[in-house]
Amino acid sequence: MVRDVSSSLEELEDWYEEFDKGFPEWYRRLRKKAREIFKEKEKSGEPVGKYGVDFNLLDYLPNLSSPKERLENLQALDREHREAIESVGVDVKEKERLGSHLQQDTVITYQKLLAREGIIMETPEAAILHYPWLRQFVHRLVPIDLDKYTAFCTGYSIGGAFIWVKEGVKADLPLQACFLLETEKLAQLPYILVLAEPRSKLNVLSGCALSPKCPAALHGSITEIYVGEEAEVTFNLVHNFQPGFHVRPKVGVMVEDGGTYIENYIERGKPESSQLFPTVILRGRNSRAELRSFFFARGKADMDIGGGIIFTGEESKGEIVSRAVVTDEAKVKVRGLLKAHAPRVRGHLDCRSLLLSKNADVKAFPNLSSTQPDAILTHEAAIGKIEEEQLYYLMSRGMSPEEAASTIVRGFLDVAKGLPETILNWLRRLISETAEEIF
Amino acid sequence: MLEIRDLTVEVDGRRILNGVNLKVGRGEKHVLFGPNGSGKTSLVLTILGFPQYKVLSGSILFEGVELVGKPIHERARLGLGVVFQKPPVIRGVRLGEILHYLGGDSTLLHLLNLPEEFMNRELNAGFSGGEMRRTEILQVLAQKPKLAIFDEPDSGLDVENLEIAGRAIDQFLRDRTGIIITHMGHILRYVQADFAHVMLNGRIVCFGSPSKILAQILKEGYKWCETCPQALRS
Repeated sequence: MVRDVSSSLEELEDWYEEFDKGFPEWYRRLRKKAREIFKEKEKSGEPVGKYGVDFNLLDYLPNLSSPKERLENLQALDREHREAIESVGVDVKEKERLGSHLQQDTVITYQKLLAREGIIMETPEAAILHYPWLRQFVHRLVPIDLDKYTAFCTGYSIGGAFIWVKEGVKADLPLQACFLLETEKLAQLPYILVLAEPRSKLNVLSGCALSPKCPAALHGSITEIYVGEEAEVTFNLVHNFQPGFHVRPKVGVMVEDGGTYIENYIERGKPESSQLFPTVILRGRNSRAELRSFFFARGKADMDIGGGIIFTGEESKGEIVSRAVVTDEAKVKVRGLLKAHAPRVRGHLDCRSLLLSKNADVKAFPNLSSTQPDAILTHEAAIGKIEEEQLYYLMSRGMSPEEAASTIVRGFLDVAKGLPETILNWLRRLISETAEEIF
Repeated sequence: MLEIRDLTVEVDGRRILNGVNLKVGRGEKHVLFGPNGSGKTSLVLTILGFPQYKVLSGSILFEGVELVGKPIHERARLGLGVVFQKPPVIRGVRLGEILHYLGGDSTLLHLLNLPEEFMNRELNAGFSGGEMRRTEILQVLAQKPKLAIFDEPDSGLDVENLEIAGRAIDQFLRDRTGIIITHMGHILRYVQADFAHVMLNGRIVCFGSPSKILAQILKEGYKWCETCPQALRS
C-alpha cells in the first residue's frame, strides 16, 4: 500500500530543523538524510523492519512531550511513576548503583553519577556538542538505512544517554538508565552511546516502563556500544510494557581484542509487539559476546526476539541463549544468527521455548554461516511443554502442581549472566512472581 | 501403615501389576527383591500416584487413608517419600532450593559426603550415578517422610559411597518405616531390614527373612524363584 506523506511530516520537518540548529553540520546532515530515507521508505510502503509485526510509525509522534520539571532525586517522582520504574529494577534510593539517568517521555529529568572519576554521563545532544570526535562513533554501528524504523529513529530521536568509561576504570556497580513513557501516542526515541575504553568495566541497567495512565505509545531506541581492548560491558534491558505498546530497541556493538560484551534482555509485561535483534561484531582477536534473552510472552503479545554475532576477530567466541515462556495467545519468533569470518572462532546458539497454551505459537529460526573451515558453529533449538516427568518429580517432594510448574519455569529462565548480585536476586524474585502469576 | 490389597495396574493398556498384596507395619523395614522388569519401580510409582499408572482394581491404604485417586503431592504431604532410581534433570533449579523447600539445609550434605557446592548445582545435571543416588537420598532425609521408599539406592555406587549411603539410610530408618528396593542386595550390608519380598511378573510371590531370601537369590538367581513351589502357588 502506498501511503501519502502527510502534512504532519512537513510540520515535523520544520520542528526538527529548528531543534537541530546549533548542532555541528555533520550531525544536522546525518539527521536530515535519515529523515529523507524514512520518508522515501514510507512512500514506497516498506514495512517498519525486516522482522516483527508491521504498524504505522506515523501513528506516533516523536516530539509530543509536555515540559517536565527536573527532579532532586528519584524518590521525588510521584508514586505511580516510582512504582513503574521500580518494576524494571531501578532502585529509587540509588543504593549500590553507580548512578542514575531518568528520561520521562523525551525529557531527561534526572541524571547523577554517584561515583567516580573516569566516567562521564551526559545527554547525547550535549555530548555531540562537547566532543567533536564523537562523529566517528555516532550512528556507525546501526546503519541509518537498515530499515524504515532505524531511519525514523535516527532522524527524529530526542534524548538518550552518552556513557563514557575511561581507560582502566572498572565500575562494578550498575548504572541505572530508565526510560518512562507517559504521553499517549508518543514515539520515545532515545539514542544511547556507550564508549568503554581499554581495560574498563561497565554494567548498565536499562529499565523501560510506562505510566499507568498511558494506554498506547512506541518505545524505540538506538544503542551503540563500543567495547575497547580487554574491556567488559554488561548491558541489561529490563522491560515492562503492556498491550498498546510497540517496542523496538536496536542495539549494535563492536568489541575489540580481548573485550567482552554481555547482554541480558527480559520482558516482564505483555507488549503489543516487541522486536529485538542486537548485533555484535566481534572484531578483536579473542573477543567474546553473550546475548541472553529470557522472557514471558503473555496475552496477545507478538514478540520477535533474537540476536546476531558476526565473528571477524580470530579466536573470538560468542553465544546466543534464549528462553521464552509462551502462553495465552502470544506469538513468538526466536532468531539467532552466527556468522564466522575469521579463523578458529566458536559460536553457539541455544534457543528453548516452553509453550504453555494451545493458542500460542512459537517459531525458531537458527541461522549459521561460515567461510572458515576451522570455525565451529553449533546450535540447539527446542520447543516443548513442561515435561511431566519433572512436574511429577517435584510434586513427589510435596509441591502442588502450580508450585512445581512455577519452579520449573523459574529454573528454565535462570540464565542471566554478568549481573551484580543485587540485580540478580531482584531478577530471580521477579521471575518467581511472574511465574506464579501464570499458574 | 501401608496396606496394598489386590492391586492391578496398567500402563498404556499393558498390565504391569497383577494383584499385588503388601502390608508394611509402623516401624518396619521391608526389602523388595526382583529381577529387572518385574514391576518393582512400577509399584513405587503407582504408590506415589504417577498418572500413567492406571489402577484397574485394588487399593492402597496409607495410615487408613485410600491413596488411589489422590494426586502425587497430596500423597507426599501425607508422608510418603521416594528416592528415585532415575530422577529427571531440571535445569536452573538448584539442589539447595529443593532442600530449603523441604526444610533441610547444607549440613545434610556432609552426611552423604557431598561438597558444599552441591547446594548450587542444577538438579541431576551432570551428576555421576553415585552423586545422583546420594542427592536423592539427601532430599528424602530432608523430607522426613513417615514412609520412605528407596528405589535401588545402591545402583551405581562404588564401595566407599555404598557404605556412606547405606549408613545414612540405616540411621534414618532406625525409628521410621521404609521399603528398600534392590536388585542385588548390596545395600543390605549396612541396612537392617525386617522382612523381604520377591516380585516376579508384576506379583509378589515370596515373603520371608531378608538374609535367607538374599542368600537363595545370590546362590541360584531369580530363575530359581520362577520354579519355587511357593511362588507358583501365589
